[in-house]
Amino acid sequence: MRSKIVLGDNPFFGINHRSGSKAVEYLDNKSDFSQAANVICKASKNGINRLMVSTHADLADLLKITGHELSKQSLKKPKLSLVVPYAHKLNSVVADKGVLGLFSLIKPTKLFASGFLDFFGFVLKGRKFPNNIFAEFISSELDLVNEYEVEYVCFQNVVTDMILGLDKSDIFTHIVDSLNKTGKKPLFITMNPIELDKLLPEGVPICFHYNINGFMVQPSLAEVQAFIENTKRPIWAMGVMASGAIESESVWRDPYLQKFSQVLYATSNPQRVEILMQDLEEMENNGTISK
Amino acid sequence: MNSNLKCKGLLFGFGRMGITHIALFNKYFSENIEWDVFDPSWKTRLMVRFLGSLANVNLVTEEQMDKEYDLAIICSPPQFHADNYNLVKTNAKKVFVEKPGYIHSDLVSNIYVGYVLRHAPCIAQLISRVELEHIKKVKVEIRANTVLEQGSGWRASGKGGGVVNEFGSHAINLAKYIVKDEYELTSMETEKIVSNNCPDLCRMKGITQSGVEVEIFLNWSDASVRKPAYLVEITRHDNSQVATDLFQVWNKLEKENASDISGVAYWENKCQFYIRGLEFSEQARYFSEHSDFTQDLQDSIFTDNILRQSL
Repeated sequence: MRSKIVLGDNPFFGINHRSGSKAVEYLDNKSDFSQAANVICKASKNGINRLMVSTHADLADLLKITGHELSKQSLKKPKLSLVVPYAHKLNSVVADKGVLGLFSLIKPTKLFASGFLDFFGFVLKGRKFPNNIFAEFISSELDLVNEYEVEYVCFQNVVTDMILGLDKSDIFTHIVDSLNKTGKKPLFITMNPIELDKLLPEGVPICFHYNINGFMVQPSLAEVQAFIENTKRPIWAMGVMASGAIESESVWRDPYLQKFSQVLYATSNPQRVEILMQDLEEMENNGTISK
Repeated sequence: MNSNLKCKGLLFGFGRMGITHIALFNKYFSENIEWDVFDPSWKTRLMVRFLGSLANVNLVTEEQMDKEYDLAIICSPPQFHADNYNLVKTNAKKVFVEKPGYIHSDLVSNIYVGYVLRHAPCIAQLISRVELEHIKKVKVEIRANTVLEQGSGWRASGKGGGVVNEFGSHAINLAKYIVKDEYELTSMETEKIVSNNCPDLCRMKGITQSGVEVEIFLNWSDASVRKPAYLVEITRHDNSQVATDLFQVWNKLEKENASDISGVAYWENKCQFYIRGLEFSEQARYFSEHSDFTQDLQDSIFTDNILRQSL
């Protein structure tokens, strides 16, 4: 189980799914990412080599401070699973400039270099869908993290679920094809895993809420557990502790959690990372959970 | 939802909320909706040309509209709602209008105005903890960092936008929904903190005929929050309180100190399809399953009247 842990960034940016006040606490501390850097260093020291981060406006600051701290301690930089697009940025652009404003997120040079003319061709002349248009959207986001290796490009759940609601499986295929050409692996975050599974190309991983309390597990815990039991698709779990509502041991002993290929864990306290890894090692050694 | 039912839908306004509602109604109203989009803005028409095929929609002119639609969604800027409604009032069986309504029409049962907060599971929890006759005061606070710099879109332009229309309409409507009574404004102050075009901070006070106080505080240029933060607080006559931030609901007694809360509950509701929040899913389900929205429309007309006083 230890090798499956992916460190999440929600607490670094004040996101908590059970408390609105956390958003305020984050802003009190945001000028200082040293605590977040300590958490990432502690994770690296304990063998967690994957970090899932959103392309938040402050991400570059976080990664810079973290990079400095990792290098000081001679620790390896984690591979990134980069969540795109950043929902609040997208929301603000669309609120201010309308849907057309989305194109302002792409650098003009990149747009004209390879995507835009193809896109005109697609719309006006019925040519093949330009796969690289997604790569252009994404490459602007990748520029934020160019000192780190990006292993997965993860589509944020509002975007994934919007496409799902529009029932356009071909868009998922285009995104997957587009990303495969860039050498990055695609991953889709969703609140509707069972629905998404029906439309997404085989083998593409999905990430969704799962915890034994059923908190934010949609459409129901029983249906999602049945899906976990039967799916052959790689699956990543998020929200496994239901934002701290579930005792750690109950979380990790859950047999359904063993079926996930990766499990997100997030904390703002470096000591908790160490305790978690020690607990998991003990449970692995006494056979309570698999390695 | 009847997945086999073939439907025809018409969307006014191909923007963020329009696309969201297409996605939701595809799941809650019918899986077989063929969508037409009407939008007079050349920019949006260009966008529909771009994204229309991706979203399974057809761009239509007024002349090309069908004689009958199963549902119409009006998600245009609010100042165009009434005109757009006039285009479909005789040929759409059900009409969903994004808030604020601004529909100047007789009370009809088939129009629903999307005041989504009333569908938040925490609001149902909050209301269930208080007897209506025990309510002394309702306070609604909404803070966000939506407009931290001068915006150029209609939301920040003052024409149908601004904090009073955008957030205030939510708060006014929610307070009415909780107290189940109309109230009159007794005071209102607005300020322009960042925007030059429209107020971004607003304080309102009101009172019902039976003496229930309503207090509303809005600030959408608040740099101390990362995303919209809500507080809805009901004070009883004995000064005990029940409150929600839409994540959790808690009871608070006057004698206890502020940090001492009890009876905390988190929303754990389930939905068939989730985008943006359970309240959106619940609203889509409610709209799809019901056909008489008379009370909701009355609340919306009340909200419009308060907005008119405040703008």
